Amino acid sequence: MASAVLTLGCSPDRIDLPVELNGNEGAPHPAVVVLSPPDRSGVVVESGGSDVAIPCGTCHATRDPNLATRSSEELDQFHSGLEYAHGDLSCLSCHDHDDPAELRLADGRSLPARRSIELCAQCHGPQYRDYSAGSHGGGSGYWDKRQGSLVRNHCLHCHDPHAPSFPAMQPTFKPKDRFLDAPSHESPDKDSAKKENHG
Amino acid sequence: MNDATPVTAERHLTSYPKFLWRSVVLATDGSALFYAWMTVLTAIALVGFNAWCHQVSEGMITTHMTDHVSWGLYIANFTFGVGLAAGGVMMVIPAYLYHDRKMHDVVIVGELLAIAAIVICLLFVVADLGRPDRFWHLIPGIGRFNFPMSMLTWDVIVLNGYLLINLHICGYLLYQRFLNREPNPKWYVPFVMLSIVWAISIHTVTAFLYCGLGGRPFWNSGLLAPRFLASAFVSGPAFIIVTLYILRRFSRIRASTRVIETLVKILRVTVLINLLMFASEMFTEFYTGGSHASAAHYLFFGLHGKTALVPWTWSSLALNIFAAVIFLTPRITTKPALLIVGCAMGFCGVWIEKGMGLIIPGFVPSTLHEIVEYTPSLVEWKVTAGIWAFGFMVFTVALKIAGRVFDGDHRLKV
Amino acid sequence: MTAESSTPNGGGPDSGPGAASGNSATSTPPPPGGISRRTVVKGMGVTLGAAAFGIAANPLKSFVEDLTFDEFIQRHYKELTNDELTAVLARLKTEVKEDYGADVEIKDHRPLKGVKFGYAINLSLCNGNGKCVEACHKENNHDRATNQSYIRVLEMPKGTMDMEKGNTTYNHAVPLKDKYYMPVQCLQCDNPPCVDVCPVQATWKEADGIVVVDYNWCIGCRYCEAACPYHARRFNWTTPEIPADEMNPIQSYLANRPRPKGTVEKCHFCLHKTREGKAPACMEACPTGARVFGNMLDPDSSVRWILENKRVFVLKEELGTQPSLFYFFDE
Repeated sequence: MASAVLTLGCSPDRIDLPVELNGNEGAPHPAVVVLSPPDRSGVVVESGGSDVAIPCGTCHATRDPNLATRSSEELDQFHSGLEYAHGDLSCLSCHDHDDPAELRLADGRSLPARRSIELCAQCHGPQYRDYSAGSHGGGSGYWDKRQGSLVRNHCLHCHDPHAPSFPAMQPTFKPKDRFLDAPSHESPDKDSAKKENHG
Repeated sequence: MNDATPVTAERHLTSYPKFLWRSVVLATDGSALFYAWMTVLTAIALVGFNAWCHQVSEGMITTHMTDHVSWGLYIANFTFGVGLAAGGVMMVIPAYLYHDRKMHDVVIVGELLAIAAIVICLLFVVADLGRPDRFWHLIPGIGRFNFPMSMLTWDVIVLNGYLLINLHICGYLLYQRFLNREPNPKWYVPFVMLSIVWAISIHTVTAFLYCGLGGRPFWNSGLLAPRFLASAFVSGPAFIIVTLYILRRFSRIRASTRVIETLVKILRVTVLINLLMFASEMFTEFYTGGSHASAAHYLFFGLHGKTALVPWTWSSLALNIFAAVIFLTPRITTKPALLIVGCAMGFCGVWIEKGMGLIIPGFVPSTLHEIVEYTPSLVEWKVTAGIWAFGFMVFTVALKIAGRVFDGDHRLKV
Repeated sequence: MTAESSTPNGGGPDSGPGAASGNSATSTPPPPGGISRRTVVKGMGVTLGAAAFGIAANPLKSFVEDLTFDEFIQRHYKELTNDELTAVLARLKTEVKEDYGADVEIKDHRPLKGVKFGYAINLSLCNGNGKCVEACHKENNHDRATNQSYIRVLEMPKGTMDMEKGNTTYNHAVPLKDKYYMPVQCLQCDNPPCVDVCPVQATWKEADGIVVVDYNWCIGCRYCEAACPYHARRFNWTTPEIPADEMNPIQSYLANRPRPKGTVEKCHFCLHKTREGKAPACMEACPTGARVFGNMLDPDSSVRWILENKRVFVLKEELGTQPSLFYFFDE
């Protein structure tokens, strides 16, 4: 079976975001840069030993999305095997019916895929507020905006939009203090055996 | 002053070195038993010194202390030693405040014990330092002495002060005897009075080292300093009683039975006060319960299956109770053997209670409530034995000099 | 030690006759004239004792050889002039090269003006994966053998703040449904008990709130470890092992340079990074974004927003330590 999964590859490009983050007047660098979200503008198929990205339009130019689809079991072909766990939403709650490569807001307006944070924000207001304030999503680089930029994650770095809950992780580095009982080797939970990495 | 010729400064310049020299001679002279005793002590001290050298060069990994239990046997013995030093004052108070003439004759035993015990304490502190080469950082003037904020600096001051006061008192009395002169009270009585107050202060300040730490609920109790004093006044007199019996047997220092009776009277009170305070603390811990009581739980019953201290604790309690029963036995001074057993029990009971039983539960469970247990390493036992041996050497030599000078066979020949 | 060293002066054979003549009270027979047998025995005893003392002290040799005179007489960090500090930093760099074979850069980072650091940890996000623990370990050149780190993560049952019910040695996939995870490191208290108790002022609080240690002044008494209510301090029980290729070469005097054995160290908020405006290593490593670091004096900073808008708390508030590290939950 030609396995087809949505890619979450991380691109080093940085994008502008519509979120208003701390001002940084007169500095040679932006106060905050947000890493561009992983490229999701299609499906990746393994073909002849290498990954080939197939844009959404390739199929959906001719094949009309099914409005009623609400579970991943109903999907076939390139979407089969998609792990889906995101509330009670249907595909077209977020995907634009007319242009499957783009997104659709709740009020029906189309939204470019690269502005997906706004789509998430429709429902996840507190998280969006916290993210905008810098209390969600983490960061690296500079805390001092006078000296450099704080580099932020995009929602999609941590949350797969189809199964957004943060994956379980296995701790890999435990204290080895003298006379402290060594970590007990408990078997990992079965239901938390999800991959640590999205990719 | 009944001396005919006034002693001039020039005369002191010659007679004082003579006095010191005679003292050294006396200190190195004695019976075969004395040599055997000193040889054994020297050997133990050297083994301890060697272990300490290993500890310094290889690091304190040679001990079994950890970041969770960061103080161990050394600080436990230090704490106990301070009590022993303070306990010596229990001879000074009857002798000087209550003018007990019989006690007066042998009070120097208590003062010399204070000197030897302080020497032990200072050595235990040095043994506990990770960087003994940086000891000079503690010296006011050339180092940076965090006074008055750090209770450890207070302790450095009071311990050294107590050492100096007792060295002065003993040194002055012995020197005057050496000169065939009656000691002038104005040169030592004020210091004796000061030493009484000071003895209280050394153990109070040592308790403040621990009870001021809010992060260690087991220590953070206002009763800690009084408990320290009560237990000091058990271990000190108990040790002195045994010493007086030994001196009767092996030297010409003869303490009258009245002296021993006085000390037993003191013990009868202090051993009960100590037990009462201990019971009071334990009631508060266990009746209140909660995680503040977890150290006490660990001490008596173990915690989460960890029970290393449980045997120590119950032994200590049993020893203290048996000692109390023995001290309270009527006419106990007529049964020296039993009394000595009682003293040994009280001494050991307090050693555990003020040592392993006090220091270790401060760290178990840790401030993050992790449980890391502690049992001293061989190096720690060696160093500890070595320091005690050295302390006994100091005490033996000091008693020897004092005994001979007071006997009069070591007077300055005019 | 004093007795052993004083006896050779006192009982030397050359001064014997005078010594023996004064002792009529001993039970041994009087000396037959000249040098007595007792004096000879004493002399032999002293010689043997001195020899034994020398042998016992032998292990100290390596310690004394390792200790340079400059290191021994080095003054307190705050008392060093600029020239002296430059010389000290150069010496330390050489020592790291000699001891670890690594080329490093040791700077002296001073507090930034108008900065008071604050750290906020979101316990709703932290999942206890321990990446911060590992990042600290690597960033700060900790001992490899013990997995040393300034951070410990407690796994706690939901519904309690009692650390008695916590556990740091959990080793299963995280998070568990009924648990929350609480990383603990130095809270950089405004009223630090560890600083109060240090007898030699080897640790102090700097203007930006960081509590630092002069590793070359600490005497290793570990009173600060006893005083800290948060298990934030670590003692170097032996010389830390760090392979040269794993050594982080960007170092600072009060921060992550290799620590000498026998001294205490602690979290310094990665001051070698944060005083250059950069985020601390644990924040950068956190995959859940639970850590927010910044300047509490900057009204626009994220940490300030959290203090103003979240219900934050500090550990063991009842002790009055006034930490600069705060915890909060989203829900």
